[in-house]
Amino acid sequence: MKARGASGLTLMITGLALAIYGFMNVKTTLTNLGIAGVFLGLVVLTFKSSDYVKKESVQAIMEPYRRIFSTFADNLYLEGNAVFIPPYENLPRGGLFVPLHDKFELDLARLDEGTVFLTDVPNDRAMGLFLGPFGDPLVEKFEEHFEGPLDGAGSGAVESVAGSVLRYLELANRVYIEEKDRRFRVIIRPTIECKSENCEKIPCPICASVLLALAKGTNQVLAVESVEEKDYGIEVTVRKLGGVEKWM
Amino acid sequence: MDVEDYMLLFLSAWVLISALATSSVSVFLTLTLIGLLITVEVGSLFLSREQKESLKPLIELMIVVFAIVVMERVYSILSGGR
Repeated sequence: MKARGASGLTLMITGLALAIYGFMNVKTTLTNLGIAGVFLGLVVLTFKSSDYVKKESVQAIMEPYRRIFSTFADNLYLEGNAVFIPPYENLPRGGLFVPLHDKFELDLARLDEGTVFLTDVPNDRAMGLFLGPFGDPLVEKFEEHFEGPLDGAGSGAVESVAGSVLRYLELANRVYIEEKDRRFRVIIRPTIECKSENCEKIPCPICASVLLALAKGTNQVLAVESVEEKDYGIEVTVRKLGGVEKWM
Repeated sequence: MDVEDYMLLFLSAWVLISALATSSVSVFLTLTLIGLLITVEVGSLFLSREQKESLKPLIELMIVVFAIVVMERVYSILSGGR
């Protein structure tokens, strides 16, 4: 970063001197080169690149979290798969709910951002673990790139914007979303090493961000049916469960 | 090298070639503006919001310069000059 700043400043100062010299001596090429130096110096200074951490570091940091969540899912005997909830009054950023039972019911009126274990429900089929807006920081980046909220933008917009942002952040090479009847087939090819272990229950932040954005973009509650590791990436199949109002 | 570096390399090459190949400052400035717009448009996918925001004043400045060049040209044509 410092080297970039220094080279930008050097370019600008040299360019300015050259432009003045060229102008005084009526030498257009030198004037042009001087202006080019100032211009490129300005561009170099504005192109401040982001700070990077190594991919291995991200993996090393993420691994303990992945293990904790995986143990969580096993020890709590969570039978259901992840359910992505689009934003509504109680959850302005949406959320990820893991039902206790395979055949579950959603009681969205009882969920809010402060809930973790949803046990205070009349029907034990509505019990489960609520993880809040899992993957939300990436969804915010998608919306920043989209220059507006993704609410109701559709699966096409989510595919395009998630693909662009994840590629830019070097987190995934490809995002593909296909709608089939009442299901979505989502293919994500992450660039970081991925273990599809307990992903049906608690997906990694990359897959979670795409699925949360999809729930938001289609205004549908989405239940994960399967997560499979294929040659072309991670294939996630999600089932549409209808809008939020259906579960209130 | 990441995409940002390739973009910078392309723009540098474009600007340098324009500076050496043209014999007029106004043509050079116009070519520079075109190069900058191409770079920002083609590479917008790989630029962060902050980078786009910080490039905006530079583009605006170049557009003002371009407008002055065009006005000067129009004036010289209307006044019967070269």
